[in-house]
Amino acid sequence: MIPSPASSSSGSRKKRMKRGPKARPGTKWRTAAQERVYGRRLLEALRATAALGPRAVKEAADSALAFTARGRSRWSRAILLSPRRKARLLLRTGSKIRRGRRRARAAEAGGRLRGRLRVLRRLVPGCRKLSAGSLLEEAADYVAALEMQVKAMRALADALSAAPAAAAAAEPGSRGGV
Amino acid sequence: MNSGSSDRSPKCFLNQNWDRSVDHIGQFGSALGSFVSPQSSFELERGLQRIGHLGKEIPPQSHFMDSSGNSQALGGLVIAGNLALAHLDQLPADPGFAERAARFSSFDGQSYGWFSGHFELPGSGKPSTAAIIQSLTASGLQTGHSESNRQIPVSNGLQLKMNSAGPAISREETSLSDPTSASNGKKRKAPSKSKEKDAASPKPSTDPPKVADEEDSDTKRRRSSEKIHEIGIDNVKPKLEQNDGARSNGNDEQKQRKERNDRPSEPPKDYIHVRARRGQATDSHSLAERVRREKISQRMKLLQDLVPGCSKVTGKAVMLDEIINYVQSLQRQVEFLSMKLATVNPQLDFDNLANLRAEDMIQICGPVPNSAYSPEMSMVSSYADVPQHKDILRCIATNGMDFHCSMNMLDSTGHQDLNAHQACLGGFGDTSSQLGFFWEDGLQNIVQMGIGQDQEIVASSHNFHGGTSPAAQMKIEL
Repeated sequence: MIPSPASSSSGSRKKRMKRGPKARPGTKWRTAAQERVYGRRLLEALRATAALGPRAVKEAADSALAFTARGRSRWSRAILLSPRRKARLLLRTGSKIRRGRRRARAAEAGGRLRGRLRVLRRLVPGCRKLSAGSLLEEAADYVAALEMQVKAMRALADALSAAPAAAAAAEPGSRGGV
Repeated sequence: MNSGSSDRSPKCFLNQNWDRSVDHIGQFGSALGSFVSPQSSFELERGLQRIGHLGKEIPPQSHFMDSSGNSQALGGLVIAGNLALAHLDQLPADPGFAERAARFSSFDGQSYGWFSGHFELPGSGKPSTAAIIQSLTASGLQTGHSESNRQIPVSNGLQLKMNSAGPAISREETSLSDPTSASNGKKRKAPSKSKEKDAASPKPSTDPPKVADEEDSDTKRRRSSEKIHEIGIDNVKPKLEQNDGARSNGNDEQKQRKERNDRPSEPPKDYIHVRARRGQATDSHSLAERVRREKISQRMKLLQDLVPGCSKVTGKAVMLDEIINYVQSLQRQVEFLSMKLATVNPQLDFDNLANLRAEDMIQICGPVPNSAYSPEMSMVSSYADVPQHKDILRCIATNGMDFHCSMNMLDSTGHQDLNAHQACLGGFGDTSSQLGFFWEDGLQNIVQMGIGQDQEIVASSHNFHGGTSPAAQMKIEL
């Protein structure tokens, strides 16, 4: 007989169990299916933004990525729910990420684990107050997602740039890895 | 049971979607295959067929038996175990169940409890859940999915092995400890004496010391990451009446549980046991500290696999440096590529895009039904492409629908693209209303392109709005 506290927790257990056998972020984000999903979303996001500037494109790409994550991870929820995103969509540009990155580079020098964890917190969106363990978990998911994003965007950029200039190799080597 | 099933219908996708989902049962197997692996998908389909046979033999008792053979199959599967369980008909009535059953290709005590808890069997006795296990064993899921079991990465070490169940509820404990601890890949605490436990309780809880040790570390691990199984296991055990009260406490206060040990001599599973290593401090603080540190090091290992070039690096600080550098470089790449896409963007138009999607799919998905990828593909696709493009879209849409068969709960007919979309946007939340508007434009295009995508967006936004509601089965999330 399952007593009532168990049944109430079994609801949460049900949630947990669904996520239990989930693959690690390395394998979860690297499937071709995920890339397809993200590619589709990215494409429609690009069409929606329609040349609002590179920052809008980036925001769209990040939103698409977060959407593909389905709100399962903290960083994706932070991206999707951030009012910053809304403001960006309204054509306001600003680059908090860049500022954060500068500060991140500066802060890297000082401190060991704590300092670096602080830097990582700033890098991964939505993880400002997480503990170290959860932060690392989110970072793993975020890294995998970013890898997929780069791959998809690169493919899309190549396809887009190659197609109009079908005959000529318009941008053969201008793409460089950063 | 009908009332029970009706309020669980969002989660269990009982009747209305069954026909539709059954139609995809064949594709479903292949979709499952995309999750697990090509060869194990065959096993899955074989297992599903076996379930079908089993279902046909058994006189139907649940009310969804009338839908189709496959529904009979899955219903009969469970019913085979215990015909008296009328509420079991809620359980397997979704493709998600089949997939989950395929994933959890083995059961032991934990899954046992998971099973009961997962499907929320109210008032189901242990014999009934035991019967489920027996029936599943009989249906041959084990042989069907032993390979898939190996291939599915189980992050938390939830490896469920289907023992020849019998009445072996107590057996599940031992089986629980051995395979799970063996296959967990987690750090196992050295089987040293547990000073804490011995000091705290005079009970013979160390009677099966090895078993308890492994289970404890397993439990501890599992508790630290996801609290799952302890409840179920205690549901399983037939003799632990006194544990019921202890269990509910233990699930809430794990710290206290670590210290005091008022469990009976049953190998305790429902609260965290941390074995103190030999020669180390045993007070609760240091134990908690150690647990936390091990959790962190486990996550660092995970990151180490993910970030290239970190295998040689030892030490958390340097690794964190590498990780930070890598994340920054990835973000820089994204920015650079977005700038590039922005310059290319004005050249988009729909025809171009249609061809481009085809190319992109080809690039991304590797070998695709129609043609091999070649550098000249761009030229070819620009001109010859419409049938190819359609094929690709069809294949994608098929996969999309397979993914989201279970999302049908959101729109009962399954294809109300715009309506469901609008309704979902209404439920999106005012904070993200702008975002929803943003997506709506894109989604208008998607409606023309693929159906499955719409469902997935609808479902995902719905899911997102409601948090992680168990209703939306994100099968993509492996």
